[in-house]
Amino acid sequence: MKSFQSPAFYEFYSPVKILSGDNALDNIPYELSKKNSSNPLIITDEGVSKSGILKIVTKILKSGKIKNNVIFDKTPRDSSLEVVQELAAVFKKNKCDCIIAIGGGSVIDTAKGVRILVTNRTNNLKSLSGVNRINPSSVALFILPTTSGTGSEATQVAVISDNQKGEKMLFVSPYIYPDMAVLDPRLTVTLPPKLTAMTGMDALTHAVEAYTCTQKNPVSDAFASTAVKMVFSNLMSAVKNGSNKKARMELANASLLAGIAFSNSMVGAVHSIGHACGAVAHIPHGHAMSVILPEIMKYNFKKSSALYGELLLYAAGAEVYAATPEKERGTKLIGFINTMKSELEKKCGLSMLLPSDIFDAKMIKSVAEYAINDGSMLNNPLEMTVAQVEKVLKNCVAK
Amino acid sequence: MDEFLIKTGFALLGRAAGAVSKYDQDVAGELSHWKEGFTVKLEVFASGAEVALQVKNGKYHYLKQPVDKCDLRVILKNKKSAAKIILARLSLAEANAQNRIIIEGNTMDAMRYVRTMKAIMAYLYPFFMLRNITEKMPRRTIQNFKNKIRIIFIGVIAGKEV
Ligand SMILES: [Fe+2]
Repeated sequence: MKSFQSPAFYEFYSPVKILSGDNALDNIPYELSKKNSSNPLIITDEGVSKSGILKIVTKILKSGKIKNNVIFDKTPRDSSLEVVQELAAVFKKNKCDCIIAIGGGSVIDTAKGVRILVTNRTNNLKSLSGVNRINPSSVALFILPTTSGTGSEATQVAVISDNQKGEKMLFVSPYIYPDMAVLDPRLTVTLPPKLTAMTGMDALTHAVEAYTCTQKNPVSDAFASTAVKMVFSNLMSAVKNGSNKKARMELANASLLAGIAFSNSMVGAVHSIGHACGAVAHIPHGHAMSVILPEIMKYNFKKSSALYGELLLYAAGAEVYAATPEKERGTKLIGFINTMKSELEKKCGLSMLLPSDIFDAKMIKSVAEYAINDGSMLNNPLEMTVAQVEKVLKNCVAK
Repeated sequence: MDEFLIKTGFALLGRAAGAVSKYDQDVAGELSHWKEGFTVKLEVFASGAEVALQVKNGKYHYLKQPVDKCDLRVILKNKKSAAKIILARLSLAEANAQNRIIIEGNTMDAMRYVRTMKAIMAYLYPFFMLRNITEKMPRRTIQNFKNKIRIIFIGVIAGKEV
């Protein structure tokens, strides 16, 4: 094994406090008091509201003497500018002093967007999009993730859709990090198998890309490799038996750890192409990640094979790792990922490929052109041209 | 010493940028996505050293005076990193990977800017220096050689706006 080489210089930052485990939700009132906050705006969606999770949280808030809270449970599937603006107005009107987000990626992005608007005292969210354009916030943001994949509870990124203009606005800033990530088994037990699989593959992709992309460092490596181990040990169990609380908690932690890792070491081409698949062809993010990850690993292989080899230890365990010759470990990891994909397809119908009726030659070209301008491409271990992305995509489409 | 090196290097980059964007089709293609007047600035924190480029008629125009407002700002956190970039010991992409720069602006614009700067450096530096900062070496074609001569003599040495 090659000796580990730290980068010539690196930075690492993760200011999010983590509450994880049984009854984690019950500590929220105490943590709110430590933030001098008592009037939360609760942002969630109909699914969470119907599942009973919202009721659990409001009951806990009540018992913790947090009487005033404003609830919005109509967050759409894609976080939108209109909703963010509407909620910023609600926040101000009700003199709220903190935000609690209960949901998946869209709810969390919406909450981050609302905090950006109320902090920066503007209605023009677009003017703040991009990298490092927003100010620090005094509004506490608590995230209660109900999916295990985006890692958004621990990242400095938010994506908000401008539906009128048909574009997605990206916000990146250390001031976007939430204050608190609360992981409680009650939050994820109701997640359906296919969504569990998709979000789990998203978390795995975050971890693998964080471990291999250009900003990797020893601290992010520790988070990423642990996340790989947790996904491989628990994703199938959680898909087969959703009420397996132990597997659910491990996956929630895997998602969080991978989120912390990639928020520091960034993601690469899998995400660039995945973002393009989402924007141009409306493919769900987790599905795109699951399909594209092994293909990009093959593309990056000549640069990253040794690192993939190292991850085999976390994915397959010590015995398999020790029994595999060093040169074959990277390829074996790709094989393990493909085997897991195949099992997930059988168990919950998560397709291993992209649909051929959508991905014709014209669509592949449009997606490839979008992908090479996506910011994540800057951090991929190897550069990519439009033609190379097209080639990768062709391997991802059902024949 | 670093300060002199950075200021000289930035001036050379600025003078070369206009000529490269005229003769290199890939760079011209990147700039075509930006509106007239779009301004990008590379600066070194707390040093006053900067190179600001503005899109004019689809080409880079070097702004010799310091600018306050720009559409994309790339800040090198210290002079040592800037000197390494000027000496082609560190690429902008690597500087990004090592958190040595901060970008303020749109990520797609940043991608375009990094690609154009890489192209400009490929014309300015000899091949043996480029090996440190690029994965793919520029092709050694007659056209590329002609462009290199024009850029160095017309853009950098004569300092002519093209
Ligand atoms: Fe992702």
